[in-house]
Amino acid sequence: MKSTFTKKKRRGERAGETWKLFKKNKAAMVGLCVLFIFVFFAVFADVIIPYSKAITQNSADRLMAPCASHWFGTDEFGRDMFARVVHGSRRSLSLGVGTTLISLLIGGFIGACCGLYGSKFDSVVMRLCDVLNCVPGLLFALAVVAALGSSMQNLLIAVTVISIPGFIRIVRSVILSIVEQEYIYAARACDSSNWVIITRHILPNAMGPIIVQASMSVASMMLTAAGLSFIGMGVQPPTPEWGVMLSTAREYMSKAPYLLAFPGIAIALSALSLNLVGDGLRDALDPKLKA
Amino acid sequence: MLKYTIKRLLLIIPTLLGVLFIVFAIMNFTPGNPGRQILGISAKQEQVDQLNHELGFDRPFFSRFFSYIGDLAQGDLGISYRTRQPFADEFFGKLPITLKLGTWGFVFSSIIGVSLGILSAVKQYSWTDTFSTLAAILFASIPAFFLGMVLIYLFGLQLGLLPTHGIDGWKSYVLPVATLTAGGSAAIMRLTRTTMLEAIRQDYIRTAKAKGCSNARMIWKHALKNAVLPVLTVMGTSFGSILGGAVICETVFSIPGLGTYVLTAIRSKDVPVVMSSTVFLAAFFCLVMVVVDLLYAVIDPRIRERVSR
Repeated sequence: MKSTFTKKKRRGERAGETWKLFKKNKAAMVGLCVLFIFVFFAVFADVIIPYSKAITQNSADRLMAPCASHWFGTDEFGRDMFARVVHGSRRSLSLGVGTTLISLLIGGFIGACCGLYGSKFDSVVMRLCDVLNCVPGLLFALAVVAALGSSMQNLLIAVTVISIPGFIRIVRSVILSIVEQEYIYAARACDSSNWVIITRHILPNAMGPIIVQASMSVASMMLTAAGLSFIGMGVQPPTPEWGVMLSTAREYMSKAPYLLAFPGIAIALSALSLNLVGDGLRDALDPKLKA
Repeated sequence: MLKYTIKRLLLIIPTLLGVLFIVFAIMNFTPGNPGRQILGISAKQEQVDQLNHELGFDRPFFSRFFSYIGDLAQGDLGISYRTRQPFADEFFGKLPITLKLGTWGFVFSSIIGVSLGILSAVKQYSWTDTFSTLAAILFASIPAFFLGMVLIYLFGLQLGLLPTHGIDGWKSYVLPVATLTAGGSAAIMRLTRTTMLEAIRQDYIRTAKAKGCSNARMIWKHALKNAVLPVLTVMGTSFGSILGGAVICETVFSIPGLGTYVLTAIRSKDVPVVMSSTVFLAAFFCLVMVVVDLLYAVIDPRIRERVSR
């Protein structure tokens, strides 16, 4: 009992130290605040403005410039852009977070097996990763979406598939570097079971770089998913999603530039906040790299 | 060195076979068939079956895969299901546009990214550093399709300086290349800065300083040579996957290049076009990565030693 108690305390201290370092980084804190606002919009979208406003067409109000009743104006079907941007945050954020989590779980598990057990399994998986690496990611995702059909769920699968190799590589290399450390030899010498070594020694030490990688990938996957929706190979209209909205904005650019501005700024701002938080986490978790 | 190069080049072949197999499998999971695709919804089922038989689509999966590989080995790249034109004519007709776009984007993003990265690492915490770091993270966050449209709106529609779509003279390349450069240079700059900062703090830099080495020599000869290797990999990956950026960039600017060509082929399930394009793009990527690995050996004598053994 005693040993588990001290272990927990130590882990808490580590998180506290990371937070202390993170707090000092002004840019990262701004990013975190902006990110909270986006998460707030995504979670309470229905409370802020009903979903029906985002999809109800109203031809009398089409292409209205921003005004008091429509803060962000209306689109080519007279739908309220504010409602569409707010509800779009749900899709974009959940795509970014969802794909990262799933590919982290799958890629992390495979990568950990490669790093821990090595040998034949490792070399087969690595060759497979090399092969997948040669196909441009976006092209591969396009092919997957084309095969499965365009929908939000298939978009999630496609983006997950293209990001799994990256996670396999990073988790594998992190674990390989830890396995060679002296404290692992020490644990082996003390006759610790494999399970204890993996859960108590390897995983806690591997978390830092993996968390950093995951936080960075949320932004890039969100942008990839939006890009696929933009070229019509992802979320389909009339679903409010930022990529889809930008794709229609392209046709009305000269008449209604605000259709372009609001979803575009939303997507850039949310990606920026995620990147700032990721940079802050990297600096806080790995002071060696601190810029 | 020569032996290593040949070995690396030969290794491309099994990798390409793997790529081909995966893409072929994915394209074949797709519902629908080329006969229906070509003849349209109104065609009779017998005609569709007849055409599918002519195209060899009714044979089993592996038989089709191996006959495709056989044709490919003989230099037959197939005929597009959609346009019924030989693949090679269409592909090589569109290649120069995308290659020009990608190469210029690559050249500018490398020059801007590497030089700004070095500058802000050497002058850490200065105004230049703060400004370029913030600009880099901003441009890394703006998706290419949004930035491209903003540029079209500002320079094309409002100022009327540059064409907004299509390819017509060098002016049409300015905006797409700027779009590609913004994202690319941001990524390269961020990485260069990190690796340079790491290199500058090493003991051998202190030694060089202690020996009275000039600042310029210390940066170019000692720090950069050690910092540039990871940057080379990223530059290679980004140049090798030109098409990744091209698909979206060409869609935004309505450029009739490879990106839009492959996108149409994927949409209309034009299997021969998708397969042959993938082979070329994957081979291109592999070649670029071999060049990067050879450059590693040229720059780093330790790697050269290990390679030539």
